[in-house]
Amino acid sequence: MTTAFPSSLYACPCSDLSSAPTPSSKRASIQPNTLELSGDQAFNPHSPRANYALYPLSDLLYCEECDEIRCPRCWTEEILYWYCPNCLFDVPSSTVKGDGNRCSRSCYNCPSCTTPLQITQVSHRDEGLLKPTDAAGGDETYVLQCQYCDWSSLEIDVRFSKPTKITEQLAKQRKARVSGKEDTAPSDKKVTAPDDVFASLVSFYKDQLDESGDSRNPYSNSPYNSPANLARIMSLYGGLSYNALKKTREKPQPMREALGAPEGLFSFGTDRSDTEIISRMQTSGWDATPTAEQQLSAPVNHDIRFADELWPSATQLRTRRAKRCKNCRHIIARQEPKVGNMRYKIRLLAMNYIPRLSIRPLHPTMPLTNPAFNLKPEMPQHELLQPHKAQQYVLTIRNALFETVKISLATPATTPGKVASRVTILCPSFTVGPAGDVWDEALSASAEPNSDGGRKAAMASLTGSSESSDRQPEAGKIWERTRNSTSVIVEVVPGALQQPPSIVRKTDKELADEELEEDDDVLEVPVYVRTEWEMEVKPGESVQAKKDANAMPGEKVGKELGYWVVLAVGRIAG
Amino acid sequence: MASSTADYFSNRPAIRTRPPTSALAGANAGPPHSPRTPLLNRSISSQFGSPGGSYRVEQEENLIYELGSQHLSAGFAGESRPRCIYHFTPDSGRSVGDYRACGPECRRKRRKLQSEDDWGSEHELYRSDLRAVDLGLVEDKLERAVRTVHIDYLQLDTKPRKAVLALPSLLPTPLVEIALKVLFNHHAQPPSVVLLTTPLLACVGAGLRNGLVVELGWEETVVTAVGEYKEVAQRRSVRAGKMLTREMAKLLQEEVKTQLQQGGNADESDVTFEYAEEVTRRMAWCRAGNNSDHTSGLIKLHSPSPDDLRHIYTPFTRLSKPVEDTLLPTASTSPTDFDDHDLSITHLVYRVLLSLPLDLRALCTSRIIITGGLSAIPGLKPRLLQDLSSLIEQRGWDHVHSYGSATAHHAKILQERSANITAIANRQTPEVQFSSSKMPMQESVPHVERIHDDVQDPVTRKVEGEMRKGKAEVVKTEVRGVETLGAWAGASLVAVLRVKGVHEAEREEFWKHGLRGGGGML
Repeated sequence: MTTAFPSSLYACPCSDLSSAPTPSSKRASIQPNTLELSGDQAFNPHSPRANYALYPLSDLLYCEECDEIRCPRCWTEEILYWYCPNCLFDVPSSTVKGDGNRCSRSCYNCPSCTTPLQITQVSHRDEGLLKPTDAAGGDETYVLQCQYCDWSSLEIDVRFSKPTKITEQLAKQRKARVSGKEDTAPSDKKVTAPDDVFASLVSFYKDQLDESGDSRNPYSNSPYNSPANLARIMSLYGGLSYNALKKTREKPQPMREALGAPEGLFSFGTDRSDTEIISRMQTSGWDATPTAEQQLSAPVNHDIRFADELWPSATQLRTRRAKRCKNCRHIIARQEPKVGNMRYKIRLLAMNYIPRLSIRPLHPTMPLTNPAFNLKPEMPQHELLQPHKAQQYVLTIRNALFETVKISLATPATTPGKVASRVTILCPSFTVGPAGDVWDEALSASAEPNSDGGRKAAMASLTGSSESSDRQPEAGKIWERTRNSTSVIVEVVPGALQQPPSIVRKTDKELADEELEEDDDVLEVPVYVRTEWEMEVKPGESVQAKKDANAMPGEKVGKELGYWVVLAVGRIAG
Repeated sequence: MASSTADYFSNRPAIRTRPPTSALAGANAGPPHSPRTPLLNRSISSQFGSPGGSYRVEQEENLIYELGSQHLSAGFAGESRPRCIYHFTPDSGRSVGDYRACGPECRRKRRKLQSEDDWGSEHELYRSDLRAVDLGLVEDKLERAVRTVHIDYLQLDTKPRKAVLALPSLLPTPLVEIALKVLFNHHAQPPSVVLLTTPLLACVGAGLRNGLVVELGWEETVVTAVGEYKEVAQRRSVRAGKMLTREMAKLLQEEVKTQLQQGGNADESDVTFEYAEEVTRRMAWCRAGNNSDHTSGLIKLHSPSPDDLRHIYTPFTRLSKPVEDTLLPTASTSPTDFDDHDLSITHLVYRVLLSLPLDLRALCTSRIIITGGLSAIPGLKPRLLQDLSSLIEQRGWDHVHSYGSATAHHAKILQERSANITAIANRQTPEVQFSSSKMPMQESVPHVERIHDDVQDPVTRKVEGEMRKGKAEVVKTEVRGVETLGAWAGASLVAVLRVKGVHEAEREEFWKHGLRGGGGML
């Protein structure tokens, strides 16, 4: 479901949604035309689950050992290093958790809009203007200021005496604030910070568990763990009898509950402690309350009530992660473990292994733009597809392997989803030549007898009239073939968005079902791609996967791969 | 490249094993009364090795997850707050590489109409009526949530850590199974997951053994009586967050209609779920009493569509109405005609209390824990308590709501009973007087026949006083609310104290036998 058309998304076979059609039809696909799909077998790109299975090709990796596509669901990640995206320093793993996965340098994010905050010096005169009463400060004070939304730490009345060690100063001020509140209002128990309550509860429970006795048996692994054993041993050595032992063991007192504030119990009664909050809500209104994003920005802000309690949060660390295949535990992507170094040591992109599908109209009415070169911020306008009007598209399959690949395509006759469009692939089975260097193509092209074919084609594309426009697509024929790509024609008849009016009055449920949701009008064609190729076993690689375990080096081993691709063709006009 | 990595991994050292904690934890606290070899309280490692050894055991960290119908919060045991709260939103369900959520015009394309039972469904992970729930989708959503939480917030290395999962009580089994499946399948690979229920954890988070937990959740309000860390009684009602936001949306729609939609573009400024929820979260409140009124001022709210720069004004008092209508509806007819969903939360609480045994009821009445998403609404907690205490005052603890024609008869019985009670009390008082005043005269009487009052006995009193030393009086019967840190913090407490979970799913067992065989889960 993308915004740029036409485009293609790939479903990782790990999802049970994107399973291969059925074993029987898979076998039958050797005769290409018999690979047929019934409606419920097909991958439905409009189902809400499809969003979790589809990826752009660039996001997928490939495991060479298992010969499978790997997506974030089926690879495991391990962290190479932690770093702060703001100051780009790496953080040693020992301190990561203690600092709450946040940067302990002076990197802070605006609690109001998440922009990185800057330390700004407030000169004495300025401060006087801002706060005339508060004249007795140091010579210069510093505040954290947001350059975007103009939030500054003055709003929570926090200023710093020096521009370094912001974290310590901030922590000190927060501590002073929390405990200061307690001093001013000792009777009002509600202001006690949850952290303190938590700490007192922990110590209370620890005491109680220690008191209430042998819930924790130290002998769990020794032969003395059961009372019967112990009694036997004791009687062996002439100690107390089992019964006497039983008597000496008095029943442990059950743990009691917390009883007062020092133990972490805080009660609230019917007194009107909330009236203050309500009256403040009333006077300061909507803008004084924080948004959900602001509250969720940091654990400190999870339970604040008013925007002026927002506490700046240190920048969340990011990680550089290596990826492993979940099945065979082999690394499929790994960067240099050095901050700032973007080079990959290993990166097995699926793009380099699986055939890539792209679709474009056969007779484009407007020039196609690559979304990557879209410089304007607004979305490019796409022509809407007219319902019931047959359109022809060129489906190009590009091979990334150095072997010739046999491809069979399958697509449901009508697309799944609320809008049923008819799709026909005119030539569903063909081969695609091997990939190679770019130079190979150029050299081989020049070696061809018809050497000015390229120029001709260029001329034709410029003038817009060429022999290829006269060509009619035929069933079972390949449209175009280059060295490592093959194009076939796909015919698409878009369905209508509105159901035809019927004489029978529809029930409410039917009407609700007809209601189109977001992206229901996008014509997306699921295509099951099955590729087969033969690979020469290199020496030393013979014992990688089970299926070619007994293959000798130099022998050819057949491999196959099947996956769903969703081609987004365009939006249907309503 | 692949072949070079292959032998790299064969050389990879095995995952470090550590001794089981139970064997080492005992070094600190042995059983006080069992015969034993005196344990070395100072650990051996302090004599022969670096002192780091004993600290390492302490650092065993558990992961805590709390699963709600709208959110997943996760963090480490021993911390008072979760590291993150992940909310399920429509934008979090977009496919990879779809950045329209960040675009300027994404909001406009949201679907407009939301039917009654569809309300807020895009923000939910599940709903407890599983007939209409696509379990595969739930799994996908949860899987992505766990993955995001781990990558963005927890950022852990590959060491396996035990996990604690806090679930709402009576969560449908398929959902529990999905949650376990996702957690075990994630590459953090917890060796075991302890399952705990939220009412219990709310109780732990309040520091109590007994209590009445009122969870004002999203889909349902659940009132649970917890006795000695066990769920004893439970009642549910749909008067909860979903209904509240729905009511709020209705109110806002009215305001929008009267103030903004003179132009007639009804579609543009339709009240969306997001808008209604935000208003509820930020501005909803509850009046202290039914007839106490605040000076009504107008509150300025943004218009529902972000492009519309106009404001709507609504009286502040009106914003308290949805809360009261939803959670505390005034019963127009007799509450006996209602089922649980029609009762106000106060009546629901009262009914649960009424169904409890007497002594537990006395404990629970003064340990009312109000938690859940809606408990943050200012004024709601005091109001609930106030209503409850007036209800108890009015009704007492009588199971029979109305005696009908037998009212007179019942009153007579009560009168007789109370007369009996006073008679007994009256008879006893002179006796006590007698015994204490006539004490010296009993010298001639043999020991056995002496009149002796155990209660008034000075020795007994002294002993009791000694026993009572350091123990505060247990609060009973008065209506009292107790603050809780919430279920997540409760789970964190449980995990940091290394309390062994009764329901613990082992990873290997779970993969072999599923939920049914896995460690006696069911």
